[in-house]
Amino acid sequence: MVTGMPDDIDVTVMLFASLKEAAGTDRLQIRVPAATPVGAVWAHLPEPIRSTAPPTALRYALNDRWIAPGTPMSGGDRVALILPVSGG
Amino acid sequence: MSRTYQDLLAHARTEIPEIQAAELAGRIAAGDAPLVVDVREQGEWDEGHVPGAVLVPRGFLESRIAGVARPDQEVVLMCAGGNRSLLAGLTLREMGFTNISSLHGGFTRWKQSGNHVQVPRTLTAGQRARYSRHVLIPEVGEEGQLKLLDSKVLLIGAGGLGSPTAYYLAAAGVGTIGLVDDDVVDSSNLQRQIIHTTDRVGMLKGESAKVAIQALNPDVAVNVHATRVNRENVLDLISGYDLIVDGADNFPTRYLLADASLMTRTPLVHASILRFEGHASVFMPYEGPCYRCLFPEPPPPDLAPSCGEAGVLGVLCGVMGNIQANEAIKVLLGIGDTLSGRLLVYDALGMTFTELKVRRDPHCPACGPDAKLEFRDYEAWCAGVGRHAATVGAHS
Repeated sequence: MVTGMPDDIDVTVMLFASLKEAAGTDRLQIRVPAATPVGAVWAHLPEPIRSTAPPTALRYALNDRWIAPGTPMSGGDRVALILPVSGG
Repeated sequence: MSRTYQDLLAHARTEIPEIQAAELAGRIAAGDAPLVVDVREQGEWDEGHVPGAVLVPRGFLESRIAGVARPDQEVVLMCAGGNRSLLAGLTLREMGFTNISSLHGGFTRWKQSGNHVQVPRTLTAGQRARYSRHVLIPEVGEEGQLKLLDSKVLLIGAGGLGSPTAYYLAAAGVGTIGLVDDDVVDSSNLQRQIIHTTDRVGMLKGESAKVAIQALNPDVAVNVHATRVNRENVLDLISGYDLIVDGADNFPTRYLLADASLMTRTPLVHASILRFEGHASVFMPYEGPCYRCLFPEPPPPDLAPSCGEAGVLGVLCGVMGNIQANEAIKVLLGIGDTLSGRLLVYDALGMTFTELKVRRDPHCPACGPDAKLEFRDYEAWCAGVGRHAATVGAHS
């Protein structure tokens, strides 16, 4: 790394279903250090969500592709947080 | 100078060589069959035809021949008695066909000589009218419609999703529809469960749906399974069906169906709904991702309210149920690109469709190479997973 600090990046977080309702929005912009893993997005969600542990069922899609939570993000990325719904 | 029908035929006979039934049969048997073009009408063809022949009614000969034969190709024309095919030969001669002949004595002589006759399975006249808009679509056609009539689809749930799915599959002529539901129609269902009616409140949902389906389409056989699907009965229920439509209203049933779909290698068409949001996908066992490649574990109960707790927009059921019917028909016919490998997320409030691409998970606990697939206690599992200290209320 040439510079001491990595550059910050802006990413868009998309929320659905119960997470959307708990956050009061379906989309938010966050600024995080470059290469932050998608799983770290949780800590940037509004209260009361972020003070809880992310549910083990939570899944992530990065730029519309299902990915593992350890995948690093780049500027302009779009992260979707998905929980299954059960109604029928 | 006017010429009679007999004049035209006599002229055609001098121009177009004739082939005898025995010679044609011999060449077919020897694997040296020329292209046989049958210029009779659909109704004549339906009663039987020469094996391997193609139907181009004489009225469509000029417009359709290019789709079945090249001008330098050997073509044997045939009709019922051998006259229409001679006249058709003159037409093809005019169009530049150089290697044509006419079957002497036509189909009548062919049959009388004891040659093999192929009788195609066809739609009845009533079915041809009922499904005419399907038959007109090249991807469906008469063959596809017959396939749908032969298809057997098991619907889990005759509720919000099951109602529109069952209704459209029945209208489409899916020949056998199984309905698994142990519930009875309640007045609070009618805002979205459109296959039921006010005067059938209190009736078993399967029976109520059967009444609606039979009124819509008597071609459809309806099997009512007035039971809750569980570990003990799921494999028996699925047996004999080509495809499962998951319209369940709870996670234990959804995970049970996901496992059973893999065990029986039966495609599973998924949709789930809540409030304004719907998910849909198609799970093709061991070909595409399965439900547990997407969601290895159910969410904690506080993040997974039911429609009974949190509500659901009635129309959302129609949108998602019809997506299921659409995908079911595509899987049955083997056409198009299904939602296999994709999770479609529909937001009715924002009117957005988000498509998320999903691959098979090589470590999938259900369909991965190291998976030990066996039924579990789904109720206990779904009640006990992933709880965390503070509640994220979906409907607080």
